[in-house]
Amino acid sequence: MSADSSDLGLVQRVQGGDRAAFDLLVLKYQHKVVKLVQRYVRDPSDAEDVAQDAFIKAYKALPRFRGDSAFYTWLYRIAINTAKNALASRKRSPVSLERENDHGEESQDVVSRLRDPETPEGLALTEEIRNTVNAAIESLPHDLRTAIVLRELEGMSYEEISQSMDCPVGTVRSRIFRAREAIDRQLKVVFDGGLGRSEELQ
Amino acid sequence: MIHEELESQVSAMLDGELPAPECELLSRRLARDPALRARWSRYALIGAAMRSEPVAGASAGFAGRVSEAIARPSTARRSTHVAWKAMLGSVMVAGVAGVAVLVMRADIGDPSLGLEPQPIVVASQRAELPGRSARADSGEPASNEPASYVVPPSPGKGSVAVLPAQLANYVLAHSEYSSPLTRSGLLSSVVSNEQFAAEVAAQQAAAQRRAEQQQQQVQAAEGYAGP
Repeated sequence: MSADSSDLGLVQRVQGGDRAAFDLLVLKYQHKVVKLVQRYVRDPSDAEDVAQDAFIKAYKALPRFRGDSAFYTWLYRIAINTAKNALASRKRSPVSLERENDHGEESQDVVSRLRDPETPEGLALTEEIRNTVNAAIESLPHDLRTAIVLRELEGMSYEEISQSMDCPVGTVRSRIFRAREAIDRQLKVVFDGGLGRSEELQ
Repeated sequence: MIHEELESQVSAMLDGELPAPECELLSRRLARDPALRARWSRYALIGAAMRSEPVAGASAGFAGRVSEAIARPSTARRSTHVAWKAMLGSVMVAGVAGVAVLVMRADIGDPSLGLEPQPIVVASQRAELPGRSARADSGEPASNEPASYVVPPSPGKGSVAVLPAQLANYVLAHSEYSSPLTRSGLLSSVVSNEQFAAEVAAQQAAAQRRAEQQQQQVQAAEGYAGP
């Protein structure tokens, strides 16, 4: 199973009435979608509102999703359209301008700056996460590193990786899991160190 | 050990490699186990970081807010923008309805709205009294020719105010032969347009003057000095 089709199982679960499965898709793509929306709506708070609308629209439209494209490709289009519509209505509506002014409060400003990857704080957070992950990957045993790289960067299925690494699929699954565990231990240190990430990650 | 198996399943599920029956059980477990959900998020974050995708876009609790918004009734989860659109739509509908009511009430000539019953139609259909108005305004003596009344062409349908206009013109044209009191009462009942009524009154006065002049000429011709 390729990376593009790896969400299909969750999508089918949502289509079958399992709303919790959609929560997992949101957890998986939240950063990507919010960042995508921020190309159109610069304010981090507004961008999250728009991203939330995009996810809600996706959830409502999911029964009609036939899997002709990858889930994220489909979600990407919804997010872009929602952002464009929000941008158009924002130009017409004075409400958004007032909301922008509300962000002058210091506490909200700090949160916004931390969330915004273009600010020094946001860049620092992003860089620290990336550096931690990369350092953890470098320290992995060769088999684990190869397995996780083939999966995450090459998008290969477990079956394809098993053929490439000449090992059973179960072993591939175990190697990828152990690689993630090792990286996760390092990542938890970062989050526990006060970067203020969320209870979602801890 | 059991927990490690669950975590292994989370890893496989994230990759879409977990068999469907296990996927169903794990999905239920994830729904009620925040720690396991956090692990799911971190595993997803690792992949995103490796692919240089955004890893810090959404704020803490974003996914939870989306979940709550989906769980809420559709009327309560509208965002500011959507609510604003809805309000704008309502205002537009109310506006259209209001205009419709005004038009309908104007059609039936409701005087309380300050709208005259089709004044434009009345003005356009109002018959001119040739050679009279201008002379009356300029104070020239009236012609001896009898006043002629031009019947306005039929405007077709939708011209309710034509009848009062025609009637008013008829009264004007024959004002010499009616008493001032009767003429005034009749005109006021058929003319509702104030501007038009003023013009009618002016024409009426001019006709009155002409009638008096004619009477004086007749009396002078007959050698009548008056009382």
